[in-house]
Amino acid sequence: MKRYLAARLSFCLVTLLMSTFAFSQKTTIIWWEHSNPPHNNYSKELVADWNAKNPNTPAQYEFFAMTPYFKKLTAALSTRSAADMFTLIDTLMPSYTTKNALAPIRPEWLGYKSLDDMKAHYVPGALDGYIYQGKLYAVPVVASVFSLYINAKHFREAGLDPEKDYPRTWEDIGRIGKKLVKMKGNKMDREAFDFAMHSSTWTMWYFNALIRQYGGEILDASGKKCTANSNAGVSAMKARAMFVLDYKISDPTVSVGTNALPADDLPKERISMFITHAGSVAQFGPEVMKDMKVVPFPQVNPQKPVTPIYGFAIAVNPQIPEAKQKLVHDLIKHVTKDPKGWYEKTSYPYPSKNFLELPGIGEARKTRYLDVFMTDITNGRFIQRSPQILEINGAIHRAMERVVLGGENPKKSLDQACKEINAALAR
Amino acid sequence: MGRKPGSPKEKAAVAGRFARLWQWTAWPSSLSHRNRLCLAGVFFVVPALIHLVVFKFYPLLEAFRLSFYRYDLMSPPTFAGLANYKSLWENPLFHQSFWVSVKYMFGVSIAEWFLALGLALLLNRAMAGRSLIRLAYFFPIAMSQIVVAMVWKFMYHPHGLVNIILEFFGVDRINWLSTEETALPSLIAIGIWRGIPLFGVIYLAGLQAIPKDYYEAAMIDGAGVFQRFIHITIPLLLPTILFVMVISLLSAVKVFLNPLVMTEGGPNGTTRVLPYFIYETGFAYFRMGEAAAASVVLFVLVFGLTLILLRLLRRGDVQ
Repeated sequence: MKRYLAARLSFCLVTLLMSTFAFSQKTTIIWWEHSNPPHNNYSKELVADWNAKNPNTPAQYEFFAMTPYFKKLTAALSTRSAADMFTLIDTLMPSYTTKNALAPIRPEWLGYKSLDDMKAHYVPGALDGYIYQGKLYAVPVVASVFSLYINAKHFREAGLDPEKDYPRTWEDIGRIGKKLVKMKGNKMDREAFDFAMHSSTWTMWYFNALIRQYGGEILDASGKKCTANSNAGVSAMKARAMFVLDYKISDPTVSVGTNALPADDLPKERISMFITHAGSVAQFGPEVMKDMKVVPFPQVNPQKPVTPIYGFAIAVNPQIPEAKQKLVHDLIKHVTKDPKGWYEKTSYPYPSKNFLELPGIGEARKTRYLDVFMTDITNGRFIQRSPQILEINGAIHRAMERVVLGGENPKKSLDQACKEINAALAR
Repeated sequence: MGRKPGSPKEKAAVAGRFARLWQWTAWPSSLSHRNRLCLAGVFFVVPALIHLVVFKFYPLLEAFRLSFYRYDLMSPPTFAGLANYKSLWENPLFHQSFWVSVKYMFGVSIAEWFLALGLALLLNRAMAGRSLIRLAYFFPIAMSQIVVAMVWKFMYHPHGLVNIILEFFGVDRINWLSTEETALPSLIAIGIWRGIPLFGVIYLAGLQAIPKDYYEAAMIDGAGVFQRFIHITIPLLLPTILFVMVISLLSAVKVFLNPLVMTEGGPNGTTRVLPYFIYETGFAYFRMGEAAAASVVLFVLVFGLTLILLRLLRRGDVQ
């Protein structure tokens, strides 16, 4: 028997070590997001809170610059190396849902009776952009909108009253902009107004709203044919370019150069009016916001308003086991439990139904332009849905560059864009 | 706890086993000295060979295979024959990217060949603070590429340092990265600035390898500076020159990060080089098969260029 003693002792030791390892092993949840400093800081706070309460299932939070992030996410999903949960922009939903790249969200795991019950807890339509074939694929944390930020100090210096004289229409911007623009010789020293020029997604947000204000759409109802070169599209492109070509109150080259944070020209006083999202209030900070005023998104016809809205939502990796998916739902529940917290830290309105009635929100409605953003959200429409949205964005962006930077005829440029879009849709 | 061999027969069996084991471990000694050297060489090369096969040849072959498939990164690939190549051929953006790459490649490389040689000639002369200058001009290559791209982006901003300097000298502001005429030349300038130090060092090494005796003999014969440069420096530096040509062209055709960070291929695609087109087609538009086909085209371009230049290089060696 002695000769087996060593073997038996070794076996017991190995078993003991393995079971200790197994019991002490933690299940880590990895969460990826795009870069947005106030948003990322709040997410980190939420993760720290979760980790303190759930030491055996800690969350690991990572964030990346927006444009490469979504490409990284696609590559990671294809190589089965993506995070367990990740934040997505609404425009990419069709690209992912049509390829089964997202796990369906289980409302019952989030504490709701059903999807209808969950919908009832959100602003009407807030979940619609994340539903595909009757299933929810992401839980929104941000409902954002574009509004017009004006530098009230510049307005006063130009003899304008920012409370009364702010622009309501695109033509107003051109007219008021003439008083705000500052020239140094033949060069523009301070722009009166400009659109962000740095990214095709931003171009699409603006252009999709503009074409709708003129009564058109970028794609037809079937989503299979480009209609951006319609009369409405040409009018929209002319409006997009008129501040550079006609009113001469914009120098688009400045915005092209100011990348990463496109609204950065506003706090640096290189520009007096700029259209940016609700989150810019937090990004600028209270000191900069003292000189700013936020007013509704300009319209072609203020009686028929259309604004561009978008959202970010948390999705679950379908490649992880169901038990871990349930755990991820617990983390989502934790992350989305405090709409007021989201708003206070990020300045993005939260799309929950009772959001405006939450204690303390009333003050923000007066001081942080929440009412303006909520009005614009009410008039808002998401970008037209297509699995080829990034190619469509690219084609519209190039068309805009040809017109705004190169002075090309809008119709000719949009014809070229439609040719590219139709080719992409046909592939 | 094993039993010890007792009988002489058992002892002999154990000894036999040991002898066979010894023979097995020492088998290379039965090889000739030449074969043993070969074997040692193979063992030294194996790690590099594994690296080449796993990280270079396999992805290359896989990309080639994928170029015949339709693959959106998430659904299983389906065979598409030559459809991806046809689609590329019909895609005006691919043609534009191809020519942007060609312009960038020659724009950067040709300037590098001459400017780096000029710099090396300058630094090869005896002058005060030569070591310090050599160290200083090597800085650009020691900097992280992403940092370089970001810094240049700020410098090229309409209100950035480059325009501030120009305005100081009374030159009008130039919109470096936002007009079709200036965006690519602006990126080319960065490529040249970053490439010169590396190629300058290579040239410098080549210059220092030329024996001084040749110059002394030529000077005794009355040859001037220009004649010495044409008849001694250039012929003896030819292999280095051709090496620099190959490496600079290859590194320029693969440029990716600067267009990505600084212009995202714009304005109107005028800085969308082929590697950026491949990245965008694959990872933004989910058309990995088409991206792989474009990679094959890029590979053919690079491979063809390398073959031509290597042939030239070999001729240079012979001369």
